[in-house]
Amino acid sequence: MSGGGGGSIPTINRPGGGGAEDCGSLRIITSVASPDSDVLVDVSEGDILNVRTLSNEGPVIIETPDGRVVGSVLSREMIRLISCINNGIEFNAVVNSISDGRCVIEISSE
Amino acid sequence: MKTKIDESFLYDTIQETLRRIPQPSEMVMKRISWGSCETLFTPAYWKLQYHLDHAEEDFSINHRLSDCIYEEIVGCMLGLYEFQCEYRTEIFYRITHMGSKNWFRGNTVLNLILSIFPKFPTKRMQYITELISDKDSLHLTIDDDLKLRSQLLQVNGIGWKNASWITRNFLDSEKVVVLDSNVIKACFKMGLYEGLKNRSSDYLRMEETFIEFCRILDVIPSKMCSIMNDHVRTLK
Repeated sequence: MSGGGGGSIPTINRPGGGGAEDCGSLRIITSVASPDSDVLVDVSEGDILNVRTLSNEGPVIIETPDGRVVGSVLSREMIRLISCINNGIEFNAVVNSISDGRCVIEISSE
Repeated sequence: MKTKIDESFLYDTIQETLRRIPQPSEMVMKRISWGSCETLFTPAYWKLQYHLDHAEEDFSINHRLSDCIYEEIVGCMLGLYEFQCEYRTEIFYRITHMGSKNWFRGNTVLNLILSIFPKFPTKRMQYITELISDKDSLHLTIDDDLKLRSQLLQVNGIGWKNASWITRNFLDSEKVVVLDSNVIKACFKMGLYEGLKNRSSDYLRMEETFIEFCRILDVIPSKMCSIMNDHVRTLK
């Protein structure tokens, strides 16, 4: 009998890869990309920021409640986030920490 | 229950990758600009996603299903069809565990398939039957990527994509590219395939262009394919 390699069922690409997850359960901790320091100075830990896209292909931007852009999102989960937003799911971002110009947020559905 | 995905460790990788990605207006290839990595499916986006994927895991994928090329071929032919996952797994597991002596005897494999999936497409069944009965006359070269693919293309039921898929799996080849519909869609979107028609008529040119694209981005083609397929499929 022939020996096995990976042993899993053939798929075109990464074995076991893919698989959409419910948008409601998506929760991402990431850093705001290219933060605007002039806006960041008015942001504090615990603040709730808005998450929206500028088009149905991104970018995903993070805004203060009064509409100032803090920065954007660069993430492995961008595709899922954008897909969910395109399907009408709304997300917000809670500020976990701000340190040395780096703002860590936790994005989840409202 | 919410699943928390913590990407805070990727901060340095993102910064490093951003330093290496040219400005959005700069050209990556003729008539194709890098674009922004914040926008889906631009060259910059793909390069960033590749490095983000690379950051955490080893990213080595063992594609090979079996040390027997004929099992590999049948496995891939089964994988093409719109089976429910549980059928494919069941069929493939039983094929690869029945022993090669039994595997090539008469209609053993085909009876097995039909016992699990009675509506197995007739034409595909015919291709697998032919493969099993003609296997000794195939003389497949299993130490040369492009030669193997050329030989596989002579097998009924195996086209460019399948032949590339089998070759990629069995020989861990980066000289062939598995151009499935999602990858092709991503490439058309970038403008990579401007002037080309479709997979059937332009496979080699599409493949050559993709390999060149990957060379410029400094990414491994099979892994880039995998990422593209995952992402394009998610947005559907």
